[in-house]
Amino acid sequence: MDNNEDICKKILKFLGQNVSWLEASGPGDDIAICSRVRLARNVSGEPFPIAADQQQRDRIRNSIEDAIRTSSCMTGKVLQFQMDGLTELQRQIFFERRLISAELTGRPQGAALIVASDETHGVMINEEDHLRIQALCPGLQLEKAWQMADRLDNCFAEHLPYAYDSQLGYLTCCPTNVGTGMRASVMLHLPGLLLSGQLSSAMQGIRTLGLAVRGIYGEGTENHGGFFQISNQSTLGESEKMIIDRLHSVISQLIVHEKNSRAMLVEHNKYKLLNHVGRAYGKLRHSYLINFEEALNALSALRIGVDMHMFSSLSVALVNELLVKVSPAHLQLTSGGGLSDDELAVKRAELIRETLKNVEPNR
Amino acid sequence: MLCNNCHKNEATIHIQEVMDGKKKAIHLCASCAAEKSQDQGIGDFNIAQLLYNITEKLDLPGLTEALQGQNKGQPEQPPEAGAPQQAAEPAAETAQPHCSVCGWNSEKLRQTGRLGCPNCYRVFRAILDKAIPNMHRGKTHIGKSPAGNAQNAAPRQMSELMNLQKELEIAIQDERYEDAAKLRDRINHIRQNMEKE
Repeated sequence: MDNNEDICKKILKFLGQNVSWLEASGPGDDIAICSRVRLARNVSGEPFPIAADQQQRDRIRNSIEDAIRTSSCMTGKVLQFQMDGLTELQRQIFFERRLISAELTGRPQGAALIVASDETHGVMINEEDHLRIQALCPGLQLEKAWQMADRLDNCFAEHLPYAYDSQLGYLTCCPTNVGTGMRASVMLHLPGLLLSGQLSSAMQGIRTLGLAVRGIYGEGTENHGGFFQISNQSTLGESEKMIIDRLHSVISQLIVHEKNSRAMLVEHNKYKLLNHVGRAYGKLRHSYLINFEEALNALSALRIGVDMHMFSSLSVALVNELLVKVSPAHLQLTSGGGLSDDELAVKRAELIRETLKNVEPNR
Repeated sequence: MLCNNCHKNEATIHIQEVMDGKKKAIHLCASCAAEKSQDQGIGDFNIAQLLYNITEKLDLPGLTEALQGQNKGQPEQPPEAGAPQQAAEPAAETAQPHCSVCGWNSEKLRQTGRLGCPNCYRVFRAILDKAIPNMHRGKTHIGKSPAGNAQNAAPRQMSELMNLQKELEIAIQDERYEDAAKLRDRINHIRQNMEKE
């Protein structure tokens, strides 16, 4: 196993890379930031991690690692992190990069993350289920993410005896995942709906259709900058393709609504919108202390400004990158660790000022 | 366009849904959308609580008592479907479902909303049969299945490997080192074969 110094180096090297699903542009990427498909799988005859002891969890981890080593399931450069060998802060980094769930940051025994170095696909071992396969694509590309996850799943199925029932499908620890075991989600930026006061009714409509809506940083963060994650709730009784198509169609509609509300704002409330973006820009360029939520809201406004062609020297990709870099764990780790909230707020403001120092609004 | 529900207000929420392969458009005003959402009880819900509510309604012999922390330490007795008719009978001789593979019981299911192992789906079937329709759009899986699992030798090898590892752990615990050495040889042999393939 790597010692702590090696792990730190490995993580810092990892942080030095850009997140490909945030950087590369995908269809509709001004509104749909990224698409993710996650498949929950378990090994037949073995207790789920929640009921397993350390020995059982280690055995599962070894068998999945064996499957990866002896197969071509994950080719190319792959990084491997054992969660119990990491500090909580280090685990938080992977959470902020959407590579592990919040659950895995708190319950690391026997858990591992194996991820392609470009972060487009990977597996979580011993999270809630033995194996969680994940694929991420920029923009609204659910079908592509599904194909990536499906290919990985087919490969693992050749090497692992899956817990599967002909009536209930893939058996998962939580019965809300049974069947396809698939959770497909899209991360969206919907500031137009938020600013025009239509957001809560749109979200209620989405929920009426049996889809789950949450803030991207977890429950209760729904109003942070208008960033949302929408995913399927039902995993049984529909095929993967049906779930993906339904989600895709609802999200395409939502994107149309977001575009319409932005257009309406420009037409009827132009100065309100300019003021919103301009003040956020001022705050980002001139703050000396800025907390995460404040930064998130201001960067959200800046992102609309980019979409409205208010800043020719700024790209959506750069704002996306900043959104990750100003997250608490990323900032804490890149600053050397041990900082108080106020010290972090100073570092955050510094980083933002430095990144945006040459960005001027178009006159 | 007017709301499909009240036919009075302007529809501000336009959603397309694909059901059974057919597209269906729904146009609602904000207040009808809010009302429908509440009526149907969709949104974030607590799975553990949902399971608890359902098991309460099920009123399986002894199960409700078991979920309330009584009737502990009874032997395993998988629940049977159609039990509600017998619910009026005294529950003294009945027991809570208990999984013999992982040790999970209905109390743990209630607390966590989670199952302990694949076998729990069989043991807690009566509870799940009631709970699953509230969580999902259907009761039967119609998606993909593990491709070629029956024909392919690799999952069988992996399964054998895991069984041997279990035996090895027991042999080491029991200090049967000669057996452990044999098991380790066998494990290494299978691993080498897998790598060759």
